[in-house]
Amino acid sequence: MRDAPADTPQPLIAAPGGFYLDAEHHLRLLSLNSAAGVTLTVTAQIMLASGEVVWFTQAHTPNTDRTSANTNVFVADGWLMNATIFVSGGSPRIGQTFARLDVIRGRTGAIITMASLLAGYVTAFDRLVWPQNAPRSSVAGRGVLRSVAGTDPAANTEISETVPTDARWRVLAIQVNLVTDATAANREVSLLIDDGTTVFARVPVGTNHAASLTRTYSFATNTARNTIAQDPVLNAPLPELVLGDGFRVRTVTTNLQATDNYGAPQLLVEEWIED
Amino acid sequence: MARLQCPACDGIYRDVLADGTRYFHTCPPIVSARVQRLGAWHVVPLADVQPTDVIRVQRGRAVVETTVLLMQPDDQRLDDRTAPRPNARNENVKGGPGPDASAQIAPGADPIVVPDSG
Repeated sequence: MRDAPADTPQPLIAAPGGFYLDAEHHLRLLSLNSAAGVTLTVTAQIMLASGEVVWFTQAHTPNTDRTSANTNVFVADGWLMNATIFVSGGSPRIGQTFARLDVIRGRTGAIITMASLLAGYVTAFDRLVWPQNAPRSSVAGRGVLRSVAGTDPAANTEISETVPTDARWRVLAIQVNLVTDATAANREVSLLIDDGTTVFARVPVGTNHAASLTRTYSFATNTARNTIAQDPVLNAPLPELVLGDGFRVRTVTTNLQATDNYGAPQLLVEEWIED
Repeated sequence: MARLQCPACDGIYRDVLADGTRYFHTCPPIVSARVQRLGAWHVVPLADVQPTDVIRVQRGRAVVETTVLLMQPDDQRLDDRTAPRPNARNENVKGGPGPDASAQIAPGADPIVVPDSG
């Protein structure tokens, strides 16, 4: 960025590392979001060459599939005094709406990012303010707790849930029902976790599930294995694992029969956005 | 918040979850068993296994061949296979910086809307 013209008044309260924005330099708001109905607003306070201080406001609608959306904010030539990103619609929680404010060079074509002023999660209560807030990673701190209802598979089909694109999950608990048919064979359920292809963790429940029975399988961190086969709820410990997008949580069932039927799994996960 | 059925795997799911976030269905793998029919070994989907098919099972410490019909409760069927489902759908988006970031990885045929009571 070039220096401000010599006759430009210096801000009375200069932002640390203050930015002079001219015709080539602008602001860009980027977002990564998983929540529904969210809108963001960025405001910027600029001191013009005349010494007048003006406000710029720009609304922005994030995508809901965690992919990046961006809005350029074209401001007048002058010193950037402060900037704020806040939630102007919806009620995202920490871990759901990640926003970043960049200084960019250019309007179209090859736009170059010169600096990132702000980065972090915003909620209806928490906003990002430059220069007070330092940029943060989208996987820093705690994520959002989500209860995820998976797919109810057809008969003779294992459950399989995939971490969505651009999400990071810490799986805390999984519960699923299995109804066995009348075929006289003992089933044994194992939970498998893989990277989409290769298995890296396997948790066998260690209890047989006989014919014509409904059992609830409950995997959770910090739990012990249930050793009572007659109990309709079978517990098993879940390793503390952080999973990237495309990783899968699924079952493999010994002696699964043609009309054995799993219900929809319910997962408790801590989720971050990870681009 | 529609209740949908996947045309590839028949799984049922909601496209929007109770917390308002979108759900991206992916088809589970298909489970197959290795069976002997008319003297030849085949790998067939679990739903196609017949009572007269011969399978290999672990019975105690021994591995034996038996028909599906004569399988004992404590037998453990061997040689099951898990493989990607033909025409599997993956509603997850491609992501990345490209213009097709929000395109589905493998959309396949459109899912079918099913009633809530179904």
